[in-house]
Amino acid sequence: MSPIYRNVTVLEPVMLQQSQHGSNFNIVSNSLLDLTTSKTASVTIDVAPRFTQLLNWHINNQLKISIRKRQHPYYHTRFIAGNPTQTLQNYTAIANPIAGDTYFQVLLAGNVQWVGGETISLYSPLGGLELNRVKSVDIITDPTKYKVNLEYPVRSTHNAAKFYNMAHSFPPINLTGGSTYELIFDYSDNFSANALEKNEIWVQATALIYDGEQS
Amino acid sequence: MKDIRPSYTDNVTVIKTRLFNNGANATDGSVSSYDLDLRTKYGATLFVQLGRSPMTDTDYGLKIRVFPLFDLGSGIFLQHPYGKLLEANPFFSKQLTISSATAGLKVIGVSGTPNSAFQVGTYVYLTNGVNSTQDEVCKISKVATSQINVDAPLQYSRSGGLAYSSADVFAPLALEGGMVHRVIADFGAPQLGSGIAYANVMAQIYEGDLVT
Repeated sequence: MSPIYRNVTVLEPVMLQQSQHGSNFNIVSNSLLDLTTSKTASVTIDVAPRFTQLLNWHINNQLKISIRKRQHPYYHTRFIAGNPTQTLQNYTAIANPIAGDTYFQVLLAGNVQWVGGETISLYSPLGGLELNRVKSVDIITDPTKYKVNLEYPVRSTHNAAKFYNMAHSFPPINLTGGSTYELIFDYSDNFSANALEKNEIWVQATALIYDGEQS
Repeated sequence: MKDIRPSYTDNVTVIKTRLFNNGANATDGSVSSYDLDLRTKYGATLFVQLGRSPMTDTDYGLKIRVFPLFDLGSGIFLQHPYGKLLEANPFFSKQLTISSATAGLKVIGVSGTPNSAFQVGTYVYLTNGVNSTQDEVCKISKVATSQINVDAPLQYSRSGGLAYSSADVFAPLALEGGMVHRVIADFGAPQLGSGIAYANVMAQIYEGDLVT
């Protein structure tokens, strides 16, 4: 006998935006994971904050993540909340990374604040969203050009790439089979906010499903 | 090559009732129990939640106890003294009248502005009242005037009914197969009170494996 596994994408990267009270855009994301005839599953969740407005930057509300049985009053809920942050940095690439690269170069005025071991996100219209970790940072031209070495190769080829710090991958979450689960990412803002405030965060989820055995 | 896949029965009602902690109502007592027979099953997962009505006696919370019963033959069972316990904290809840709700949407219309009991991130219990068959628990995402936003689509449409704050949802409880489990919802209190709890216990039973 041998086990049967499947890798599935539960949620393609989606951006949640926290803006003025009452005008939130795409503030809650709901997606489904069908395990009704599977034994178990392991769900991996990535989050990657970004922003477009610097003025009055702050985050009032945390991202709330729940996993529960769908359409069922008896939830299997997990609550994961990232700490609100005010120290986000984004950098534009000097040269866009291509798949397989183990580094990227950025141009900026000021010091690169990233340190080895930090989880970062890369985003571009061509390559989509991916997470990586910083291995080390080398100075190319002080103080404007830096080479950021990565722990593992870039997955996709990018254009107009941007890089953000404060990304996070949560430890895999184990689920038992027999139900359809709903993954909920709730970035609601219940506070009045300045019109210029806009907070954004990418979320994505994948699962490794253990279906059963084959003989 | 043959595939061996698990087979489940989901949404098995174990306990679904209102309980009074004074036991004064002729039909609604303070204790309800059910024997879940898993003697020929691999096991089950128990999903427990409860709703609270506004309580005047907050000294006692609802207890959910699960005891294994050992089969002594001839229909005689021995209840093991040690079981699993889920216990809800006793405290007040607040009540709002529902004006509208549409299945599939994430908005509950209510009369008036939700007060601070309807906290973001907490659970709200929706019911049509006594003998309601359309109870559900939702997680609050945001509150505004005459409105509660929840973080997942509603299960039922409503043009009335009540929304109670401070509902509870427990972590799923794993039960072993091969035995009967006695599930007891106990809202008993040593003195009279007027609190009401809506106890709901559902099971998902792991029946066995299918070979195809």
